[in-house]
Amino acid sequence: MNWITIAWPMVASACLTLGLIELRIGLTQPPRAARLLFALSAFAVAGIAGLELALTRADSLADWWPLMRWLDIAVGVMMVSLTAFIWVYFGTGNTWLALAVPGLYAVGLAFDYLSGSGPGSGMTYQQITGFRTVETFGGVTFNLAEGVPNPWNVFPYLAVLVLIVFVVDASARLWRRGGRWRAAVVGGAVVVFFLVGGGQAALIETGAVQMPYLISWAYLAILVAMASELHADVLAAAQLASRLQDSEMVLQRLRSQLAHASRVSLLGQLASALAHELNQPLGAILRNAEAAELFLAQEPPDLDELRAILVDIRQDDLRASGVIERLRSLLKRRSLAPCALSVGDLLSTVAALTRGDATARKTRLEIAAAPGLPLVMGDAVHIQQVLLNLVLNAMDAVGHLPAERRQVTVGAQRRDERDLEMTVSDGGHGIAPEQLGQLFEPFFTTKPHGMGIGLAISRTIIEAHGGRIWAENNTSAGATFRFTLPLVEESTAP
Amino acid sequence: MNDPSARDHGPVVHVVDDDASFLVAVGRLLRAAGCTVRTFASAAELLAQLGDTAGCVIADLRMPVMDGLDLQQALLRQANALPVIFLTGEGDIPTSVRAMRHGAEDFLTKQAPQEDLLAAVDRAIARDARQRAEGARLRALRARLSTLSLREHEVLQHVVRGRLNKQIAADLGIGERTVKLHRTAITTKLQLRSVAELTRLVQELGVLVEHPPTCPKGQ
Repeated sequence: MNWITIAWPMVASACLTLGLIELRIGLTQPPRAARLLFALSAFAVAGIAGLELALTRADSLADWWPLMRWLDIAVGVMMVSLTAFIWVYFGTGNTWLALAVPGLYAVGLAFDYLSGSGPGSGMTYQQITGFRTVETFGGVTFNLAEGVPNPWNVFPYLAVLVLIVFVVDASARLWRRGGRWRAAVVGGAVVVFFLVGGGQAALIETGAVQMPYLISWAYLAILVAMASELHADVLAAAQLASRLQDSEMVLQRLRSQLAHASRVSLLGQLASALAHELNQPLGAILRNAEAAELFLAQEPPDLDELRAILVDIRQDDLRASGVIERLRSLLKRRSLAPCALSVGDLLSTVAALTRGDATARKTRLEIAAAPGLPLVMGDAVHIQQVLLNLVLNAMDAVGHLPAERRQVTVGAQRRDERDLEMTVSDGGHGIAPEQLGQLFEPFFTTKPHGMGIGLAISRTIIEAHGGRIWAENNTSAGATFRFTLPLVEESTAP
Repeated sequence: MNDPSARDHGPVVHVVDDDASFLVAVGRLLRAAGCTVRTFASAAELLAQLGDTAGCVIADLRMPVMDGLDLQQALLRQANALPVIFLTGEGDIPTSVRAMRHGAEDFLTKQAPQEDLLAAVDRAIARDARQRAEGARLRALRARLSTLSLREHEVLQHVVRGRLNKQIAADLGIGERTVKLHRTAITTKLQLRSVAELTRLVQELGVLVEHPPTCPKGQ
């Protein structure tokens, strides 16, 4: 164990770590090519770091030669992947320069695989003359190959130069387009990396300095630059997420206001019928009170009749306050608050709210709920709103029929273990097949004075409950609207 | 609640409302005010049981199947066209205009003052009584008219057009004296004293004179 055997693996693991992060980001849907290319370069450099470390241990040609060939391949992979990365990441670059990098490097790499003139003949050296052990800081030693440099080694260095030119050019283009930060940081880091890494390698190979290769160390510049990019991305994502959350809340509030507005307009449609509903008990109370006065004036007063009158007045008072209570709950502005609901209660409230209107339109409203239905999970007011919408639409749909055929049926039955299905059927004209899909779109309406809001809001409400809503034509006549609601889970049901 | 014996006696207020509690309350009030009352939960029920009872009808305007206006039409079509007072939850102008145009006695809200309701009932009963008396008079006249012979019918038609006996005789190809005899017979049978009275009567029963069902020369 010495600092060399600690430092190089650390560089390699830094490369691997960022490479894995970038790979993970690159593989999200849809895949991002720039991130994948950068991950590839980082893995290649991790490999380079390992090879550099192994080379410091090599003291024979047999050890050194395969390591050197692998190093040349790894450097090639790193250069090509970085070129492609810059090209894709910056979204700009000179095509000829980009293609020249692998071309020139391939020419140099070919020497590794040609039968050369002497031992160790390849891209870097014409011939290896021997190995030297060098001592450096802290008394640590490493091995170094010595040999005659290959003049054709100019090709890989040309490739490096072209790459630097390519990156400078691409950075300048990006700078002009406004991506100044990225051009300066990433472009600058890549240029620094190649100047330092390439320059140091050249000095080693010409014998000017006696050091291990530091290509992987130079790469740290790029790692830092990309980590800062990643950092900026993460910050931007966090900001975006919080903005999204804000707009989600705004949307939620708007949706709830819209639902409220649509409820108010629904009640507007029912207003005259509801006034009638209210006037019945009020009228009855008044007449009973007047009758009571007359009975009291009789001699002797008819006490039995008076008692009966009081009972009736009390009942009518309850009836009137029931109407007002139903109205009030629908008019209240409130957000979705689901709880366990009885289907029977839901249906009877809707029947009570629409009874007057149905009478005025001479339409029969039939409630056909299967007996013993389990509780559903939902917000009573919102589900009543959906039912009211569907029932009023259905009454519109049968309005043109002769009175004896004007019927709207509201049904409820269990659909499966998890859902209940509610249906509203009419015997009208049905829905044109091409409109079935559009019915729930906002602002889609088939009525001359319709807003196209009711069904769209109904869908929002049902989907917020985790249900579905759809319409279909009946086989006989008219249409049926269906929606599902989740049942209260068995364990939580009382 | 319903008093079957009322059928044979004085006027009966018939109340129709699909709302049971309002029906009971109005029934109570009217009874306490001294009316004879029969209540019905639907227009069809009333029409089925109405018969020839005198009085009036109080109907809710808004009822399922057959509403107040339908009931009014049905009453006008049948023999016993009782005056109708409409009660409604809330007044709407087009409906009330329609109702009044078809001869509704009144159009009141369900919370209208008791005095208005009772006054309307009194008016309606009085109107029914007038209509009945008038009907009885016309029926009697019609009965007397039917005792005329065919020839007397013919002469009558000429007389009411203001033609002279001479012209009538020429038209019918009979003697003037015979026309005079027919005229005397007509006034006697119809229990009239003057031609003026005769003309008024014929105006009232116009259709019957113009188109006597048995007249062979009907115009």
